[in-house]
Amino acid sequence: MKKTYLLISAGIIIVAIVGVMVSAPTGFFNPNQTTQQTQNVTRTLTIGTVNVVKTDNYVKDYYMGIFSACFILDPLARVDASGNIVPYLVNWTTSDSKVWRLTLIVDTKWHDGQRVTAEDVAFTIMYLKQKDPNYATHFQFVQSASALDNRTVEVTLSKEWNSFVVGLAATRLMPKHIWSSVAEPASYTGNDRNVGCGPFVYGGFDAASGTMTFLSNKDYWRGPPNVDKVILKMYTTTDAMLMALKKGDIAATYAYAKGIDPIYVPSLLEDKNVTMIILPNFGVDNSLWFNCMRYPYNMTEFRIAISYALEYSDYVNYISAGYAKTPTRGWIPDCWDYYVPKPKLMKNASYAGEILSSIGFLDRNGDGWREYPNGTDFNMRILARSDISESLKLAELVKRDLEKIGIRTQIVTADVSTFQTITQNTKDFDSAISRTTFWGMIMYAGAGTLYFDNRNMGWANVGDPVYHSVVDEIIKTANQTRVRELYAKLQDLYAENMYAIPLYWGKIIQPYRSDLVSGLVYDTMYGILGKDTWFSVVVK
Amino acid sequence: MEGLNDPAMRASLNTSFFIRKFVRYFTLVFTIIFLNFAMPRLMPGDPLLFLFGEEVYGAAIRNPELIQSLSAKYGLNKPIFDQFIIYLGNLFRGDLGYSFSYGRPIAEIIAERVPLTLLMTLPPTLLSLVTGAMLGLHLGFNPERAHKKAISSLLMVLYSVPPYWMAIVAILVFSLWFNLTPIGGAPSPGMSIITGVSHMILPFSVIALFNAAYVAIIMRGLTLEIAEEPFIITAKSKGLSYIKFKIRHLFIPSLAPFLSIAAIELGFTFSGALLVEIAFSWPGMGYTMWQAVVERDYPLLQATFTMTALIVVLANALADLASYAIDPRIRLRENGRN
Repeated sequence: MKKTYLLISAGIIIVAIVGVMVSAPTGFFNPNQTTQQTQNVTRTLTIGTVNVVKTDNYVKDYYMGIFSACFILDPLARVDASGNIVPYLVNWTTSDSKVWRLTLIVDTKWHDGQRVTAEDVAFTIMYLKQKDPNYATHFQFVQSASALDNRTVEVTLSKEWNSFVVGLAATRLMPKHIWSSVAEPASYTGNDRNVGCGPFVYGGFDAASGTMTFLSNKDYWRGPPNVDKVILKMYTTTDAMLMALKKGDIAATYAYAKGIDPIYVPSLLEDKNVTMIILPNFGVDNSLWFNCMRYPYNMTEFRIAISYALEYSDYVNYISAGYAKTPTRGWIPDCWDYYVPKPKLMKNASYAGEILSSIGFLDRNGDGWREYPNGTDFNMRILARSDISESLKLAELVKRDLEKIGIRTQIVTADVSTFQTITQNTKDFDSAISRTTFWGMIMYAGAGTLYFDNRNMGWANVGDPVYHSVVDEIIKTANQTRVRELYAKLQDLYAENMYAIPLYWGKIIQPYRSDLVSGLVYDTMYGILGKDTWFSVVVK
Repeated sequence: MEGLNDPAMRASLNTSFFIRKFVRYFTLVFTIIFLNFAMPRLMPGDPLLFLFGEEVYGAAIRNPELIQSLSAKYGLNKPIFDQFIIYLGNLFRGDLGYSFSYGRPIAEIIAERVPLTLLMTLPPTLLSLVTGAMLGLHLGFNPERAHKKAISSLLMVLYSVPPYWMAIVAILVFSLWFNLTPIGGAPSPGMSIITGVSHMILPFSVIALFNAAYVAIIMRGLTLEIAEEPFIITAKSKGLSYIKFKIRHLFIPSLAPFLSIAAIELGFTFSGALLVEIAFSWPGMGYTMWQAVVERDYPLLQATFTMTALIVVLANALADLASYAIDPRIRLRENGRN
């Protein structure tokens, strides 16, 4: 008996001693300390992210594509603070929206010393169209792209298409001398695969420790960045990333197209060194999307009735911790410069009930639930993302509100793949809750048309000919004044028809440690990793 | 039963046992391979979604030429039966295929992830098997003693705590508050040994604690059952030393079920510990499988699930053989079926 005790005790003691021996010195060797020591020699910025890269090929890996656009490559065009697409490497002109002339406006070199020319621009457009499924859509109407001289490229489209410039903002310039001989870019593993012309040179990826390194490009055309080395540290959970921020292992956090969930803010505010950049979100944080091709969601009166049943202030307070506002009926967030003021959404349950009753949705059998006009049971299904807790919480609140006006509601959960397949492809849903991204807002004809029009992604499955005609005219119209008028018309249609109900307009919350870094600039498209940050950032 | 003393009879019975087991495991392996092929395809969700990204997918699926060419490229345009035959053929040639989402051969991905996974799961699993067995054995004999009751309750608490939560609390306490360990990431070749080990301490401890609690609870139960047997009274009356008594009369009779547990535990070390891997940002097999599910990467799903299942089956087969070899009761039971 005693021997067994002794054996167990000895085992525990040995494990404990080994643990202490190994753990104790770690404090002296932790990444934070190493970073600070290195900073004496180089200005190193460590940023945490939950966007985990699987393979460092930017054609294949979505997040590698994002990080390469932020660090090692330059885009042809960029998005300004108001959401407009403006020149970066190239400027453009067109007289008929079919033939576009792109002009290189900067003189720059690839990281391997070769000069960037118009040949690279023409090559990139045609190569991506042929080889990358994403660009097959961005450049679907491109017929040809050819260099007229060292600085000019002529692109011919098969139809008038003003959204061509959106494709330019999505395009990261690729070196022709490297990629022209690569038949399968998605599986290319050559050492030169990450040669670009951006402000940083690729420094390598360690998948095990989840770190990716970028070194400053001293020859960058805007001058050398203010930081010599950037280390991206990847975390698989936001909890771990924010603990690393509090600990000082990382100077800032990053998540593409979004900030952090507002529920984390109170805990972060307890740390005096953690500061937040808080900006309006250009995407609509969450909307209730109706399948406008399915009865009764194809009835405008039905959708309007639902819009009066919802308690918007609860979504602002419970889902966004107050970092949001109640939207207007026009759906488009008020941070867009083409925003047109519309009446604010508000709850009026009795009015919602009156509308439903007027279109025949009544509780005929007295069980507390409204039936279809023909007397059969009515059940509204809400599709929500099972992998986004905020989406599920929101669905519960919407269900609560709908049940208060007698609509029996069922929440159907689906992971990202199933959700997108249902909403974009099979269309077998009644309603769905989901957010839009900034990028999605500017794609197609802009103003969120991507999410509405049933000829495209069309979560709302809108097949209304009036809506389609406005979208078609925007796509063909080069005159920006007319485009503004058409965007105003779209907002009228959103408000009158309620194809989707915006549940709240949220904010982007970007935390960073003010004792480790300052001068971060928030870019509409790439957040704090946008190009301007590298010329104003100060590593402390 | 007298025939069991005849060597020729015994050899014949052994052969019969091995054939029965082989047929059973072969059927099991084939079923696993079939299910691993079929189940991902039964899941709703389009595997092409992640080739486009969600904003582009809607337009892309309305372009039939593009969809056809991509389906052909990834072999998704062939009839399901043809896909299964191709998959079987490749599997028997040792070709695990090509991952949609990584754009790399799956064998390469597995070769990269398995060592990291084993580094995280194997040492704590081995330790937990040994300590859990010892502790369970101790707690199962004379269980009414107060300190044994208290330890048993503590084990139940430990086993009830979700490992993910335990991992997050461990990070909070040891990484954030006491600054003793890094917050996440696996060791990598460029690191010093001390830094590398510091990355392992917390995942090691969480897995070891959780598994040891589980093994100890099971072992305690087995010991409680055996302690009721009449031969225990005889053994006690022989006046054996405490250790000898426990090993010979308590541990060895419970070795067969313990081996089954150990086989499953060791088999699953290859598949990683998904939630612990996520908590510690550890890019192991569990995390890879989870990503493959989310992204509907059929080839990667098939390969990782099949490999895990095969290893668990192999470990179980070995445990079966070992139990047959060491436990005469099992030999009697198995051969009695004939």
